Amino acid sequence: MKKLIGLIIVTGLLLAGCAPKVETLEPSPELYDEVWISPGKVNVGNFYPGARAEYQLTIHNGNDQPTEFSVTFRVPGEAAEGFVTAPSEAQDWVIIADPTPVLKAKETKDVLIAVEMPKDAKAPEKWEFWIAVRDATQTGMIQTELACRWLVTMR
Amino acid sequence: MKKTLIALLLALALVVIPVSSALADSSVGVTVTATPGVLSISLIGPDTWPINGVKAGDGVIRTDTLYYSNPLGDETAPADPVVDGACLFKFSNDSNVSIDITCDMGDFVLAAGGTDIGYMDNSDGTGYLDNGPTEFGASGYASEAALSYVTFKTTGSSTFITNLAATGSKMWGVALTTQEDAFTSIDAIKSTITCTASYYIAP
Repeated sequence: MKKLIGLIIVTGLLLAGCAPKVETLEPSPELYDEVWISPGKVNVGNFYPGARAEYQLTIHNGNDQPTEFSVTFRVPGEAAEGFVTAPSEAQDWVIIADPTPVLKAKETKDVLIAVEMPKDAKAPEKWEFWIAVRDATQTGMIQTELACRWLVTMR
Repeated sequence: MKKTLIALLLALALVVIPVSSALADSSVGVTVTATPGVLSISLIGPDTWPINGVKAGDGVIRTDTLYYSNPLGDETAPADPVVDGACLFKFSNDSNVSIDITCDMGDFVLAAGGTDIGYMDNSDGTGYLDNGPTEFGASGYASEAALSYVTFKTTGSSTFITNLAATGSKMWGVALTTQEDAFTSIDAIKSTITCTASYYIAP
């Protein structure tokens, strides 16, 4: 019986250790009035055809009024060293739970990003895509957007 | 002993249930890790380039002409190395991490209505000198560096500014050669330059 109890405890500890660790780096108070996103980079490892990976992208609206954002898939012009840009069909593998979120003034919201690779699809060994977030109310000739880099490594 | 065992099983269930749902989000064996960091960027100063109207230009855009967003002169190339005074625009990296910045420049469309019917398209060529019939070429230049140009394409441009430190700023400008042939319309046209900030990864 003691062995059983010990086994239960060890199993519990091991399972608790498997939980994804969500590290946070809190934005400074000065960023309360800015538009920001977090994280800046997501690494997916051991990925394979038929697999799914997901992560929450946090968006903050620092504007003084409700603002619509656009959240889009992007193939970057250049990829990180050792990676190549995502194949064009990867656009169909990426799911953006809410591509046009409207955030109240100073609101912070999570948008679920998932990548689901079909079982019969092929991908480079290491590839990169971006999830770009833009304040859709910008009107100037120069506009800015923020991109979360997704670096995918196949198993 | 039974009570202890039941209590342990309950405790284990409480641990397992949330973990199971978290693991179910991504497939078995797949690892997902995020690097902490907050990305934020802002434009300090103007967000519009009045082509041929920054300094002494008359604001009229002529064909086959090279313009700069240079406060020292609308047709004056920035000196080498580039100084802040030769730059109209300024990025501020409000992130708590270093960033790269990539700029894409779209085709010109009617300012009123925004329809793209071939009013000066981006040649997507090799740079600011690469214009042609109905096509312009554009590149960016940045201050505090040796003069070099990075092509602004419609999509997929190369990195324009790399490793801009957290809380740092950078001034920059645009060089653009208008289309070779005559404009087919005198209506006002506009283009948008989209500058994307992304997490800097050291090579």
